[in-house]
Amino acid sequence: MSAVLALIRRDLLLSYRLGGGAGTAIGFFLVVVTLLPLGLGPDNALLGRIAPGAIWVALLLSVLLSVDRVFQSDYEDGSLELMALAPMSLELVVICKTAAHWLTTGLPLALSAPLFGLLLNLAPETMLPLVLSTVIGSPALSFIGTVGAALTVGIRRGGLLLSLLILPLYVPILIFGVSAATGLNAGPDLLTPSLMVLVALSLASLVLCPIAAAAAIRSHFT
Amino acid sequence: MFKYANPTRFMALSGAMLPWCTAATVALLAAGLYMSLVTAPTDYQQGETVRIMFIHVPAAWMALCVYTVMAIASAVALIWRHPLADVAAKTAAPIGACFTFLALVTGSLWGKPMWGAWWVWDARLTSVLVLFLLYLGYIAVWQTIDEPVKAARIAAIVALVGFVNVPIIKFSVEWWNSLHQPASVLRVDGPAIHSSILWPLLIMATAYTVLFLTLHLVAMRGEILSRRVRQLQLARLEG
Amino acid sequence: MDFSAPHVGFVLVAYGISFAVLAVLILATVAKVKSQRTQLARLEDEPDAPRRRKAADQEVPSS
Repeated sequence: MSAVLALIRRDLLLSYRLGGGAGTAIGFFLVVVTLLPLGLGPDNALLGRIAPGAIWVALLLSVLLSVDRVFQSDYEDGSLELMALAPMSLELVVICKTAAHWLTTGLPLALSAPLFGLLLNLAPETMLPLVLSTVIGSPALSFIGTVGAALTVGIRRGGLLLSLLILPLYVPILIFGVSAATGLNAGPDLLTPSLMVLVALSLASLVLCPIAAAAAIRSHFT
Repeated sequence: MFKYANPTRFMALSGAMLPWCTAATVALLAAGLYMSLVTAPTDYQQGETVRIMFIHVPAAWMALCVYTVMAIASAVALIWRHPLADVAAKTAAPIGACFTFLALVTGSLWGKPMWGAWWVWDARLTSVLVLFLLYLGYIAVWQTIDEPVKAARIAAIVALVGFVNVPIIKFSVEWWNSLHQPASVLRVDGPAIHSSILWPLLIMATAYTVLFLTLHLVAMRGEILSRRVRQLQLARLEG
Repeated sequence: MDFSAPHVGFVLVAYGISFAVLAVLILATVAKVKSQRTQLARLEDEPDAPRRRKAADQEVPSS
């Protein structure tokens, strides 16, 4: 247990010292949210209708662009290879590093989503469902993104390949995330079926993605 | 299974099978096309455009079928390290991508007279579009990574991760589509398929399957040859 | 097939594109196999290339 906490703490420290974490990701989020009205026109009614979907797309693009640093610096200085050989299971290493990434990038993005929703005329009654959906769905985004990062670490032009590989896998998260953010006409009950599916997707990704990511990391070192 | 692991044996076996496969492909395609274009009756609502179904549905079936073949081959490559498994997976991908592309294009050409738009975001077409993206990603892995052994492993993981996601994506896209159900949607297969429509469909589907089998064998032979060429070139460089 | 029916153009284009794409796929696959065969034959026909290089190495004067 202490090894797990130590690894998470290490990654949190590195992320804080090296920068390029939450701040940059939130900045990117803001840029995308700014571009949308510029492209679509300032009609507030239109923006209000697309706001949940647009926020979710901007969120997953922000996570996608930040996820390649989960393994990059450790690969470059050789510590990733050491982690692959260490007694601690590589799957557990992946979980720790992804948890650290989510705490520094995914969670801040998810929490800032309703604020950016204001820029897109998001209806006030959808703010709580939106933030619930983003907070519950963003771990899935981080874990699936980590698989992509593990597959493409150390490859030149790996970022483009990462996006091409991961974006189709984000489709279910996006669909159920937006549905959970908006489909609350079902009444005061916050636990809509979409939200439950989102919980299931996040839990499934927590279990399955580290296996795939660890296999991918091992492929780089044989 | 490992009896055919030897590339030389595979070349001999596939070389013997190829004339038969080619003949079967030609015969089935000829029969299927005749039935689709000449003898199949027209639909009361759709008229002649229902004939597009005979090349759209088999293409979509093959798109999924070939991805399954790729996934199985990738699993065999990862778990049992069968030497021909990654050859099978790598060569199946471009063929599958072509079938997926055809499913999208013929779907669009079928949809324009039916729904009035070149592209409709209905559940089936959207799922096929995402499947096309999965194929492109897989092919990109082979093109981007230089070392063959590493490329084979990474590609195999990509294929399996994609395969696990195909039913999830299909389910979520169908759910998404049912939320945004447009006012009137024409169902593409109708209540029950009459036998005069079913037979051309099955013949074309079988024809496409045998076409894939033939092309896959040819492509695998080509890949084995190119690996031999690469081996000789490397040996040449090392003097 | 009734060639004067409405939208028959779509049917023809659909079949045409299917034929074209499959033809390109078949031709490209066969062409690749053919080019690999000729390359292989060429490489197997020159067994003296490495020997020639080894001899050239030994001829380099050692200074």
